[in-house]
Amino acid sequence: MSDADYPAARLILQFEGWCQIRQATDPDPSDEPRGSSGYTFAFGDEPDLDRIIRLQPSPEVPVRSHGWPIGVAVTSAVRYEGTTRSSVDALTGAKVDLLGGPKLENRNFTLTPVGYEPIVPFELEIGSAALTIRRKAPLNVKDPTVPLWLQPEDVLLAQGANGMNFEPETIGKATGIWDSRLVAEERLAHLQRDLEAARRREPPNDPEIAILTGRIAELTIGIDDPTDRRVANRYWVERFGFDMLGDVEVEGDEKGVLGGTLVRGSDDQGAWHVRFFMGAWDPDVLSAYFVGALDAPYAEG
Amino acid sequence: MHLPFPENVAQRNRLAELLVLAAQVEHDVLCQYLFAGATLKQNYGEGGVTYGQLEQMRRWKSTIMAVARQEMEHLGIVTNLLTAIGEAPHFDRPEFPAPASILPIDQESRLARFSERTILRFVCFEMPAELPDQEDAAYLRACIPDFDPNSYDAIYRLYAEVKRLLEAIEPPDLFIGPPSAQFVSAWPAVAARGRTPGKGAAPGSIYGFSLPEISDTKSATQAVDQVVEEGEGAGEHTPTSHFARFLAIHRELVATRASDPGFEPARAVVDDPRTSDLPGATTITNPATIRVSELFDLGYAVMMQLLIRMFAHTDESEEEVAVLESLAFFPLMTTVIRPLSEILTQLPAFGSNQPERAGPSYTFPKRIDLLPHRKAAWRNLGLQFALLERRGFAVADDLDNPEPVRPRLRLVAEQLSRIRLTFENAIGVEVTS
Repeated sequence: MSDADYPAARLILQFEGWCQIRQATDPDPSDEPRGSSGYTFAFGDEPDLDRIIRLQPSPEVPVRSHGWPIGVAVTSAVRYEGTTRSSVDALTGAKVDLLGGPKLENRNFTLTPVGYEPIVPFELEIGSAALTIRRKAPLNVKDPTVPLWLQPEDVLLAQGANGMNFEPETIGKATGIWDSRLVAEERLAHLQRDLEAARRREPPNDPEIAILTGRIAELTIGIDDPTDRRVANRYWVERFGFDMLGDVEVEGDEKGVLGGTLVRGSDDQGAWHVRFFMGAWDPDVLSAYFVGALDAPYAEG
Repeated sequence: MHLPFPENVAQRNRLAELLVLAAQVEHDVLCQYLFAGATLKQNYGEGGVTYGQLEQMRRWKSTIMAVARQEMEHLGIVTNLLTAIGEAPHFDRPEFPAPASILPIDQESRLARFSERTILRFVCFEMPAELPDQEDAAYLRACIPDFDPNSYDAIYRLYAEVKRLLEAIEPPDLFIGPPSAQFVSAWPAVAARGRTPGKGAAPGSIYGFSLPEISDTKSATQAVDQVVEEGEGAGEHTPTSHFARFLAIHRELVATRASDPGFEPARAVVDDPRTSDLPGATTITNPATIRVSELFDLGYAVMMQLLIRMFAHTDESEEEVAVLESLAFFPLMTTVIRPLSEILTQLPAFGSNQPERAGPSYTFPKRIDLLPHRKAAWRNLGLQFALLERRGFAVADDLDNPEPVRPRLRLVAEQLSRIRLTFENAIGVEVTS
């Protein structure tokens, strides 16, 4: 798309927050239910690991204690019309979600190299009381019948991350975490106090004690070995950026909120552009930080 | 002091013979470790375990899997030693069960579920020549009648002789194999796709799997030291040695059972499960389970064929060898062999209502010799991948399998399909349409 073709009217939504990813880690198989060879686990009575990226808290799965508040939200919603810039207050603070059980689809390197995996499916929803917008980004627009495991590698890479990079500064600026080891040490102290208290309670809550015992054991491994992935992986960043060309759904007063109608085409002119990164991976609480922006063209009036 | 001709050749032959035995031993024990690990229960709903015990078992399984992975590394080191001295890789081994006299490990080889007896056998496999810790010695004397560590240190002695021979033979007569026939760990799956792993990523050891290049006496003896130190320990108490790790599990298991006689950590998996009769083994009769077991066995055999080809390739290019590497390790080991082995321990060995479970048999349904002609070998591999894909989906679609394991069987089938596609793309031939 040349500058001349670039739509004059654009909606740009910035978002960020912590998400939850309850996934097994290499060299466990990607569908390992409890974790054994990698460094992530389901403990006690927690449900099996399911790999789903949850941008919003779910009643189906627990959020581990002393972690991060799960929830990705719009931090800035701005409408550009030529040289005019205006805030879209109705979308500021809107919840950002990925629908359909999205997963990082690497499958132990069979689909893509590590760090280049796409999120499948990618169905973005941004919703507030006034307006909810949804758009899908199918992997293969030309032939949606091809199953994931038979997709050509270039199709997977087009929507995949652009490698894994070690970026402590990016993580620090985004999350305020500049010392991951300290975070792990403070977490460990909290969990040890919780475990002592849990053991004193009558009757004892066996699953709770098992969860705390497991988390303490794994955090201790990470703290004792600075090269271990339990702590070292917290400074890595995976960046994504691609066009969204799938179906669009809008609920609410679109014209009233946006002052126009979102473009919906499946060609270059109708593409929405999404850019984001995931990082600050915290394997103890199975969470990562999610930061990005959606750039969607729309027609005025 | 190096040996003159013809003693050097005789000793060289002895070294090759010992390395073949070492390859069989490493392969043999790693299958037994993987089998025992796969039998551990993972859910409270399976019964016989509390949440606290499950947490303990989670750590036991992690340890067993880590030790098994290191045994794969040891098999790789032994194979690198074989190819470094110009000998063929060796991936064959006796069928399970095998009596103690078959391999120099002075213990029967059998696929048995996790138990005190099984773990004690693993402790014996990894026994050092001397026990530096008197508490360990006293504990083992209490567990084993007439205990003497020298009755069980055959693997240690095997590697000690290997090291003596490596030091005795003149290097020009010894290290005659092509370096390209060794596998040296350095991000194989990533490198195979022509990409770097990203800024700041450290090459070398992969998940604790470290295979050094062997080019001379020093690197060869260091590799042997690595195997011994990781397995039996370095002559002093080494808490990370396989011996120490298995002994710790045994102590914990005995203590847990003593405090809770109802504790049953393993699924009711039969010993030495197979789909065909063999004296001492258990023949699986459940038709649906047999189909899953046959899929496992074919996948295992094809993985071995890939490994043989990788270490003993003929005129393959570097890129083609990288394809073999990229398919053997993560895809086949991690996404086919491992999940199928765990699924099998949840499937009925006999009737659907009977309690006995099956398990992976680690049987070769076909010969796994080196195929000498590259084009035919690759074509043969392509046909095997196509067959695996076909059987994978047949098993995934089999409604006779219990519902809880079907999603995992489906993913195995999809992975086999992807592996077939990747292989065909690599060789530029569509084996099946």
